[in-house]
Amino acid sequence: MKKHILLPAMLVAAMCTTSAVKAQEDVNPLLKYISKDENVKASVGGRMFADFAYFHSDWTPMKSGAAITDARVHAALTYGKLYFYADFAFGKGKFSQKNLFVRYNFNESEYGIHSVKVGYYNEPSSMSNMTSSYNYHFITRPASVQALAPGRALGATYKFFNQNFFFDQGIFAQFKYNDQEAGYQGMSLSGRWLYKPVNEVHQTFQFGFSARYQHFNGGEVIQDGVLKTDVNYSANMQTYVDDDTEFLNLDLPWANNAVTITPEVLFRSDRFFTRAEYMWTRVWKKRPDQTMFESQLGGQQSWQTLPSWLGGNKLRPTLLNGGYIELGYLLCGKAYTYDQEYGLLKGMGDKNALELVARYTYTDLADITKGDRFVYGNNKFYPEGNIVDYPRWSSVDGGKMHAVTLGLNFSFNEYVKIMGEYQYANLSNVYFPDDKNFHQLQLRVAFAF
Amino acid sequence: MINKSILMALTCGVALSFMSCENQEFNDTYADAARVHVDTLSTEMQKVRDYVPDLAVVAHRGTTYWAPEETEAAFRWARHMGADYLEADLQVSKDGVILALHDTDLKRTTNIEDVFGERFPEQERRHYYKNILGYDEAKTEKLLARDREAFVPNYPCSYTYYELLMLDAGSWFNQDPASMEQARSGFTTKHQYISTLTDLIKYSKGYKLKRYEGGENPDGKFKFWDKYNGNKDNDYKGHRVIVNIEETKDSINNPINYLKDGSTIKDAVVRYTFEYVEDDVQSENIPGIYIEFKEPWLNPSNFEQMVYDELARVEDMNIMTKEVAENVPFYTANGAVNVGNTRGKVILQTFSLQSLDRSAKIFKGEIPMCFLLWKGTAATDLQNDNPQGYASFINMAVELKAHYMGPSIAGAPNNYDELNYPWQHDMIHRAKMKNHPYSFDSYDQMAKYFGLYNWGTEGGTRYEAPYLDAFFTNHTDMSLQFMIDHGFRKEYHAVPDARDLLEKLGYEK
Repeated sequence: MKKHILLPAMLVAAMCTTSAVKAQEDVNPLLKYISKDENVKASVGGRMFADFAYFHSDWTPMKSGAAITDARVHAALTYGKLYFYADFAFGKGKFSQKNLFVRYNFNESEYGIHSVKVGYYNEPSSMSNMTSSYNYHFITRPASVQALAPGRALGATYKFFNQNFFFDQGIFAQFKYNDQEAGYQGMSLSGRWLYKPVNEVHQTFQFGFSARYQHFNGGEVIQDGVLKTDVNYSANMQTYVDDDTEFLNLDLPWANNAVTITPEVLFRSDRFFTRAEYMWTRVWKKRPDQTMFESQLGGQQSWQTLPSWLGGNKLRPTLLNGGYIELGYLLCGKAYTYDQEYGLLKGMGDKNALELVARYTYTDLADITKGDRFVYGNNKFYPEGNIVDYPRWSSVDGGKMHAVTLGLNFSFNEYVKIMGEYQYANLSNVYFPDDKNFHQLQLRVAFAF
Repeated sequence: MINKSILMALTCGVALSFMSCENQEFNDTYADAARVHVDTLSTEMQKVRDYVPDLAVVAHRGTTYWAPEETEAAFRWARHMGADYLEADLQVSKDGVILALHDTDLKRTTNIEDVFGERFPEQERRHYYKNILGYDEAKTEKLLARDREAFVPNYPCSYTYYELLMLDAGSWFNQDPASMEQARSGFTTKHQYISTLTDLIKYSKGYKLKRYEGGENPDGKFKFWDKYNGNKDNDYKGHRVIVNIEETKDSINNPINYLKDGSTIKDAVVRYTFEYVEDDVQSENIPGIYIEFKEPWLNPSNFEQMVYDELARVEDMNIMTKEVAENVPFYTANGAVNVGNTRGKVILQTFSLQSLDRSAKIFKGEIPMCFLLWKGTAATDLQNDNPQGYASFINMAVELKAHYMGPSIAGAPNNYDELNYPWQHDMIHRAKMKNHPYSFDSYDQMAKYFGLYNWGTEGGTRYEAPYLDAFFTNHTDMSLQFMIDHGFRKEYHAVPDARDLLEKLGYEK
């Protein structure tokens, strides 16, 4: 009984001490100001990733080399139960807005912590996506997560967590600047829910799932009365050194609604961790068929009936999926640790720590009807392999990839790390017919303060 | 700490050394073209491929430069000039006559706007059903109602050949700014018809149309050349002789003429019998024919079978139904063209994968076949003209039993997309196919693709000119003379002057 009271109390205490200042930061900030009298804590910091990569591909060249793949500055302020955070990135020489939010812990008790958060930040989703890149145990997140997990969005969430449960859910806008070409913008409802049957200092076991419903609304007006929506799913080859060629990339015009379900599991001990997620996304589409059919009438070669027009302009829901499993073993260093507030494995930051990691990733952005044959020369699918001049297909292919990654990571301390990886990836994408095998060696030097 | 710094520096150094030691990788079309996989023709297909002489001169639509395209004048000119092949585009009339006609809209190369305008040819159609085919009143009116409802103007397949015969396919040439410098009154006075496949074959064999000379009493049965052709005084002189018009048991589904309920209409196939006479201008040349299946969606679904049957019916042009000896020479001892008497007498061609697929099932790769390439985004076009895209179309062609690729070439006056780079020519050869690019209009183009301008040398020693194995030309005269002058043509007769030849053939200025 004591244990049940003690651990939540420790959690609350943790939130209220200086560690709360680093609630969003990658590391315990070196530059900070604490005033107990004014109940204010403030910090500024930054981070940089320099990546080196050597690639070998079958056909399409990838540019080996080095790049500053991430550089950020951030500022955080805790005032009572309020927490403000802002960070901005300028990796690869491009400025981008990252997190900007305020969080309020309105109820902290031995039973758990309740908070609301408003601003621009990651939608609650895949645990991989919620983990900071600096604290990740691989140089990039899995391609499946890059493709199917949401990014940051403008919204509001309510979160509750205690020793055994984690609930985080909210509502988000489709575009952060309301900069869609036309129409109202869409929205999404996202959440992540976990149960932690084992959650101790030396061991954690949790499982749960995240879910997201999206409604797409904004788009471009392609003709009078027709607003065309669109959604894109894409990922790099698990490298940021060259992500110019989109080997995994899928555009889905007329997207209307999408649902993503992501079951997850995590086990952590002092020396070992494993975690896995599977992501399943279905996209429903909506098109003003009658309007578009009528607008094409009037030509000698117009479709003359709506059923014939529909036959030549097929549209169906698209199913995408992916997943990964990650393993890590700490060869040197104290122990793997766990982030209660976010329900995540923390990064490796012990002095002179060394870990061995491995990952298998599967990403499937292809939804090809069985029997369809693709001809690269004219970018057409031929249902049942029948060669006709006007094939009526509904298949889409954004690529399918299996990847295995082996890595060795070393941390000098919390603030400086080196990561090394070898990766083999096998791609299948009709738009890259001769690109099958990808080998890459990557090295990252990362620091944060 | 020093040790750690050294460790970091060493790690970075190892990573960088990986990159500096390795060969650079970047886009290289020549290298990609050499390594992309292409399927190859079977030994049997290669034998058929070689039915056609190397560096054959294909008279594109007869000629588009010197005479109205795909007419008797153009085809006669090309045969007398010494072309190895007479090239034509095939379509089907509403009553199942296979036409040699390029455009799918009759407005450019005929006077349809003067004859029918955009109206349904009510009077002519009634005459056709009632008086020519002999249908009773009720059937005639029923068919007329149906045709009226489904009529779409200006498509060749919207008109019976009887109606198409009323059109003048020659006079436009004299008025078109692009060709009026080559205008000849003979193209009007010697009425040029929309040709049929039978006409084309007959022209290739040394015939021309038999025309009425005046004083006859022709067409008593059909009243063909009557007022519907503007001959109010029933002056038949100069018109082609029609022997018979009869309905066959066959029918076709008209692909363009839809009824309001969306259904297509079925038309009877009608056989027209015309008369031909030996060309009075002497020439021993017997060229082959190089015929293109036009858009399948504008023609009946059994289009390829219709052509197969017509080739079998006329002059034994179908080598699958009438064998030809293996050793017939392409040229006679005195240099005349003899391709039309060899196994290579007919070459088929199409831009359409669908047509290629249907042809493969009917012709089985036993008649030479060319898959034409055009860059664009339309139904039959090549979109990706990089090595992989180009290879994918070659592979489709090999699978669907084509023997040649027919890429477009760049250059004035047409300025088509270049699909005949030396690496593309080389890729075609790697597939054991041969290359028949189109269409040549200038000396510059000849010089470029025959290698006079050192084009292709940027690819190193990979490529060897000429970058073609046969070619489509609108200037058979210029092309032949070029080949003779530069040693590419050994069997030849003197190339006539284009204008003199037209005069000689009766097309006066």
